[in-house]
Amino acid sequence: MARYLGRRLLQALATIFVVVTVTFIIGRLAGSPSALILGEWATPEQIAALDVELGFDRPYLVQYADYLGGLLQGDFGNSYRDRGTSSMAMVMDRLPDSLVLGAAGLSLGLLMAFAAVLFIHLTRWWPLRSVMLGLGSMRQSLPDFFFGLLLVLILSVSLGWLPSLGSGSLQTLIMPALTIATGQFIVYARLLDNALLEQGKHDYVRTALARGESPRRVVLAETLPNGLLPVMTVAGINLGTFLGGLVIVENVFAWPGMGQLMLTATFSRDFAVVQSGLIMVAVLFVAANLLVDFLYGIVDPRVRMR
Amino acid sequence: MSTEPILDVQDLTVVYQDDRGRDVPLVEDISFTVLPREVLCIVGEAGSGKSVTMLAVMGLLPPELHITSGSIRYRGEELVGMPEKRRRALRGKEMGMVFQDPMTALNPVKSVGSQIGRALSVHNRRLAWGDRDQRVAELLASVGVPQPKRRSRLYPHEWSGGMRQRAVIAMAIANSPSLLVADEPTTALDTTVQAQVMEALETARETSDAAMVMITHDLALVAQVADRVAIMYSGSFVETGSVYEIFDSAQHPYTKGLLASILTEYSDTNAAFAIPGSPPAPSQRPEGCAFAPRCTSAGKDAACLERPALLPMPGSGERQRAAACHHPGTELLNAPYAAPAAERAGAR
Repeated sequence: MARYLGRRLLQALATIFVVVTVTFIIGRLAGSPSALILGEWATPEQIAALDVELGFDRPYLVQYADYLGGLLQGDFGNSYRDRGTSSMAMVMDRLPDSLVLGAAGLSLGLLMAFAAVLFIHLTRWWPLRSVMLGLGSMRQSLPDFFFGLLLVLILSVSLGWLPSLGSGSLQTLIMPALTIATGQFIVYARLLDNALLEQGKHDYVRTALARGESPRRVVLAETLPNGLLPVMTVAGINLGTFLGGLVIVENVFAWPGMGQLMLTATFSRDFAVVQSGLIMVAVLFVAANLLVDFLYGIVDPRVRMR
Repeated sequence: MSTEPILDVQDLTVVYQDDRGRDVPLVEDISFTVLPREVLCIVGEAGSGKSVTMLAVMGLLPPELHITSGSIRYRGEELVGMPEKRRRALRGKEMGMVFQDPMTALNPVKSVGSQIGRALSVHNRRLAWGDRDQRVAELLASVGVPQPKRRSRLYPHEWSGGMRQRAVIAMAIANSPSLLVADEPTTALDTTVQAQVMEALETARETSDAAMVMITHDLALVAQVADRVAIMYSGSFVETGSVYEIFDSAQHPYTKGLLASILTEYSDTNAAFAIPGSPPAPSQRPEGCAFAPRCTSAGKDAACLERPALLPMPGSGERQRAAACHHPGTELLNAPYAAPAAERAGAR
């Protein structure tokens, strides 16, 4: 177990190193941010002076080594725009809002998916399954930003039930969370539904029935634990798409999370902030995948052996 | 032996609905009885309907198969149309089942012990955990699993195939059923452990005083364990009788062919006798005698275009001795040898 964890930790560090390097390269390819920061009336001398101040006049390799050296000491570099502030501090400042929205959306989506699929499989009410998958496909055919705007149109503009944007209260959380939840719902509902149907054909189900188990008990205690495995596998992979979707939803609803910060930072070429944001995303991604691995070990005894 | 039968199946027909909505019979008008402590072996080729018959008895038919007629009585109680709840109370308590493939018969994410334990607690909600574990260990020990306490905590992938089948047997006999159904219990095992597992099954059956219906195509095994034998071909029984009657004086050409296919020291050649052709698919069974196209009986004639009924043989004893053939007892034209079949199969 210790060896396994050690190996995973090394993999995690390697992943983060790759993310840091790639974002650094892309950041430099886009050129110096000095001109953008100083505005269109700046003289070439002023721009050159800022380049020197930010260190952009040095060779790329030196900048890279300097950046890496800073990272090792916990220095993620200051924002280019807000020059007194650490870029990572800005990210950390926005992180809680993103976590709240992401966790609310994801857990609501998972809850809806498990409730719906289990209800259908326990009652064997198959017409409802077609309704669920049909509605899910319709939701999936709409991009998040469009679905979000539809929600605003209906719930805010027409009905006036909810504020259209902002943060800080439960009411403002509802629509962005619902946008994320419905998108995640169909992904997991379809996965779990398929997994349960597939597991239902296995021989061990017949063995369970032969010893007198009820069909409901077979779903809950026999096929569900097996069906969780493919769901968890895809959950780990799906997380990247999920974090990407979060950025879009935050911007649609003006939710002051990391995604909004990173988009603004990208437009103003504040690459220190973009890099810190991406490192944070990578850390979240790696941590979530470690969690999935850990859960996998709990559910599947064959994995536990490694 | 005039005791009440444990299992009484009459005119059972099981159909499969094909893509065009037509009923394709998989099992047609099957009748048999099993007395207490009796062992009935159902013998036949793959696809002849052996497993379907016994899944119908267990009430475990897959949803696409239906019983269209007939009756299945367990200790006089009709099972066809019985409310599912009552049926469930019988399943695993009164009748236990051992499946063919032990590699897939157990749930991979639950410990073996917990799965056997469920067989106990599902029929006895008040069973304490400690008592349950104790009983599971006893059951495993009784089917020859060493270190049962330790092993019961392990998962199926940590068990060998032969050991897993012992666990499935332990599960089947957990509540001392009166009827055991074993669907080719040793076919999927290594030949080296087949005999040991079969011995464990026989011991378990004797301990729980159960009758058993065993599906197999291993005639040597039949000779060892069967009291009675039913030969199944293309969805119907073609011959039934005691193990001695079947092995000593087979009447149906299919039975004769099966017995002739056993390769032993009495064989004249090194090659086993093979019945020509292959059985028809359920949707393509011929109008008359289903076996006629493959039949090499000397008596084959125009009468074989009619389906033969399973008729009692003249002079049969108290239990039914029957064959579904228009010309029972006729020699095969290509029979390779004449040594007594019972000796050849090594009957007890």
